[in-house]
Amino acid sequence: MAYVLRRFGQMLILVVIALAAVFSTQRLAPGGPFDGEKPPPPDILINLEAYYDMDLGMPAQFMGYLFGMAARDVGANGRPGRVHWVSIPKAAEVSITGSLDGEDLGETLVVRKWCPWGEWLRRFVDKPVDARPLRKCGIVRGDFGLSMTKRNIYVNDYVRDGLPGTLKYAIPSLLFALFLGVPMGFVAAYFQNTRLDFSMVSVGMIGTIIPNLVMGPLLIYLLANQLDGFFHWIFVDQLEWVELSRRQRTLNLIPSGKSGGPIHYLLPTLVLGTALLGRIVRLSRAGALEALRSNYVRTARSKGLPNWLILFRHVLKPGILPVVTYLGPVSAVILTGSLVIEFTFSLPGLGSQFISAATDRDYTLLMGTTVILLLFVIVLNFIVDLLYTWLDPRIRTGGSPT
Amino acid sequence: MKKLLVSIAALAALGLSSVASAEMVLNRGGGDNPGSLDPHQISGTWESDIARDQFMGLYTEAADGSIIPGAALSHTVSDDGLTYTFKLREHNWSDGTPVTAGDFEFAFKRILDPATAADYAYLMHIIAGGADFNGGEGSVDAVGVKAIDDMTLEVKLASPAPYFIAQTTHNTAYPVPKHVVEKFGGDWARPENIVVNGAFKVDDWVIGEKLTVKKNPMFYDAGNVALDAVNYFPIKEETAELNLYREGGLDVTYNMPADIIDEIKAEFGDEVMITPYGGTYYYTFNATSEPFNNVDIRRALSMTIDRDFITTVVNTSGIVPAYSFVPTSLPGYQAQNPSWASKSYDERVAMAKDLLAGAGYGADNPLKIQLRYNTNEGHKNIALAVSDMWAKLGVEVELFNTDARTHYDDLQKQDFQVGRAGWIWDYPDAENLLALMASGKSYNYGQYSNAEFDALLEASYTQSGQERIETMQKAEAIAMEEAALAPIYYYNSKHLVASYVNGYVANGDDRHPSRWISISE
Repeated sequence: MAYVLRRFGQMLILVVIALAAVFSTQRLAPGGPFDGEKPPPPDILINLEAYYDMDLGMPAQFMGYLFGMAARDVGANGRPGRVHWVSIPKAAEVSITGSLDGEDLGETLVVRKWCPWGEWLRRFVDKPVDARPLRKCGIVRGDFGLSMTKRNIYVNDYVRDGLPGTLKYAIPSLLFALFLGVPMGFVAAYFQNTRLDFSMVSVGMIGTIIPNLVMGPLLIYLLANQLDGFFHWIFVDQLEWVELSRRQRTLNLIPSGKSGGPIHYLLPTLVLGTALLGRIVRLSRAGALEALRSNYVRTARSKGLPNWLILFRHVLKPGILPVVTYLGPVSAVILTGSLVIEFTFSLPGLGSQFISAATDRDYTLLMGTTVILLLFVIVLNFIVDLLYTWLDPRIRTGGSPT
Repeated sequence: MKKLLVSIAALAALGLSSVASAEMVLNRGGGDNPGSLDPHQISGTWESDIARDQFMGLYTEAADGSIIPGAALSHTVSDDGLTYTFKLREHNWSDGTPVTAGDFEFAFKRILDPATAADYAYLMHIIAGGADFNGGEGSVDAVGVKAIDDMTLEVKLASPAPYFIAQTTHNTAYPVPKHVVEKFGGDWARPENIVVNGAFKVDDWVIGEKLTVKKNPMFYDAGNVALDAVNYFPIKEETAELNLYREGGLDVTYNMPADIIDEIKAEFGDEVMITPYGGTYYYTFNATSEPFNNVDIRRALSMTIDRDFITTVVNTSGIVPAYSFVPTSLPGYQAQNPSWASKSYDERVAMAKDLLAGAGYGADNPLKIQLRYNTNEGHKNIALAVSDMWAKLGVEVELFNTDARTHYDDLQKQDFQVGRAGWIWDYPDAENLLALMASGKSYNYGQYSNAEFDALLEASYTQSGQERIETMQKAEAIAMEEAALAPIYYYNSKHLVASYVNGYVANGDDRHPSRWISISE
């Protein structure tokens, strides 16, 4: 338990360092969220920067991002003024008339409570015509802030709508790689050093060696362009599973923009899945080989157990152990792969949001997607650790330093 | 292996079915994710398409883009051209509350409020006191907009602006429901809170995937709105959009890939709609430093650009060569070409060589310049072609590309020599483009400055009718002769419109309100 806590602490530090790095580097990169083909005039730029607290120093911006801000005064010229980190002193109250939810507040401050989680009872300065974001709870309270280029969308909304799009392709890809890769590895191990072994390993490695960025267009060319007629013949003519719409002449395997029909899972899943396949084949092969050489398998053989029973009962569990260890890093591979496939196939998801956030210098959105991707990798690593102790009792009894 | 792939695909194909529905639904390419549903907080054309469906300004667009009464029934203008009085139409917000002049007053003041931080607020600087208030110096009470009574709105302008009526069709001049904005603050335009006065209202929005608007039964002309719903698909990638159109997933596209226009025309024939669009693609010269503070060098380089080659070989998407900054498609205005535009290309090159030699550049002292563009295949091809043309003069061109954000940041800071830029008018009026060449304006990237030009443009603000147009033409002629910038081509809009879509009419502003569109089976 102490070990788990210590690792958790380490990860927290890692997350903060990573956040600080992304936070500062993106702001140091040339260009900003408000530059563009028609950048706003200087006056309006000042308004915009104040709106997003970019008029503050970078440390203050980072603190605000992490822990939120209680409020900002309405300063000179109607622009946001002094920052109140914790609560608003009585003296700083600004006389504003307004009403909230039908309640007439008269000349007073408006109190807002909003945060995805955590208590937040601070007072926010609000003006009736104010469009400033009032939700600045900080990421510690689960608030990723307001997008800087998409002015009415909270980064939380982006994550809510983008994550399913990413998982929709990530999960089938992982399943594809596991259910194909593990048996391939076991077959390779069982027929060690034969042609079958060699071909299993090489088939797996091909997908891993070819980068996603190349694999995507390659598969588009092979399956969607060259074999399009073949798939059309199967799905449309023979099986009649796909009904062509009024303008459609051929079956189109390339997913295009919106999450199209289920048939559009084919290409993205293949691209992402094959990227993982090689590693999984090799790891499960290695695991199976070690198990096959072990004493208990020899004993089982000598007892005359049939081969399939030995494989299932004695080789499977220890054999997939290396694969399970790999599932942590796999999440990173899949998520970075998602960036590429969402880009290649124009699919909606966190990856495409991440890319457009980076090119648009949408600082808050970029931070938000980065945090989510980071958390994903970390959480999966934790789950893997737990699975690992369950699969290999030696770890549970042996390795708990105090 | 193959067998396995096939069975996975087969599994995936299960459950695919096409549901026939009695509702009339239009699937439109949306271009990109809208950043907001708040008409005051948007700046992209893809965003104003959605805003146009949801809100109605004092005046609005007919299917062909012409201006017709919207929330206003009529208006009168005072003799000095400064005071506009609008008589409003009796109609309701989608929650049943009447739309009043107070909503307009509130909206105009809101977009100008520095706290709103609206990027496009500068369009409303034409309202008296607007620029000061927006710049943080004036007060809200000095802003020249007032609800005389519920149905009468008075707007006082800072200077006469004959284009003001056209501007009321723009999303910056849309009304917002005061009662809702006051209740929800910055969150009022979220789908669960929003209240609109247009023909459609947002129903569902999955960011990055689809935005659905449904017919607003409270819309004053709802009886004449044919569509029950419109789906906007935010697809940036033009090839992806084309694929979806091909599949039948879209009825109208937002754009199409410019490099394969001929193939698309062969495939879709009449469904291809290419229309001149109110804007110009141009190169800006940094006039604040050597060598482009020299007018001869600017002229020499501009006249050596072979626009015909660019529009017939480099980009064959039907664009039109440009010699003037104001597009020729602007009705009622005569675009002003520089004097050399009528000469043959060879003559121009010879002329340019003389100009450069006169400025002291030649074979022994070649002019070395850097040409900047934002990373994009189309921009690159044009930059390559242009640098080849300039090489004929012995000019050594270095190409330099950065992403759009960095690019425009550098342009604004005059950290460039020659830079690519483009401008689409906000409202169909020459002033909207000419202002980009006035001294000190922030969009005047090269900071071109000519006192005579400035004086003429200034004078045009107090004139009206034909006199005003002639003054603006004079101003443009000066700037074009001095090569304030080098126009390259006029933009066009490109859509695929399925044959069963009616009411999607080609127009120069590329505005296509869904309220006029219907689908025939």
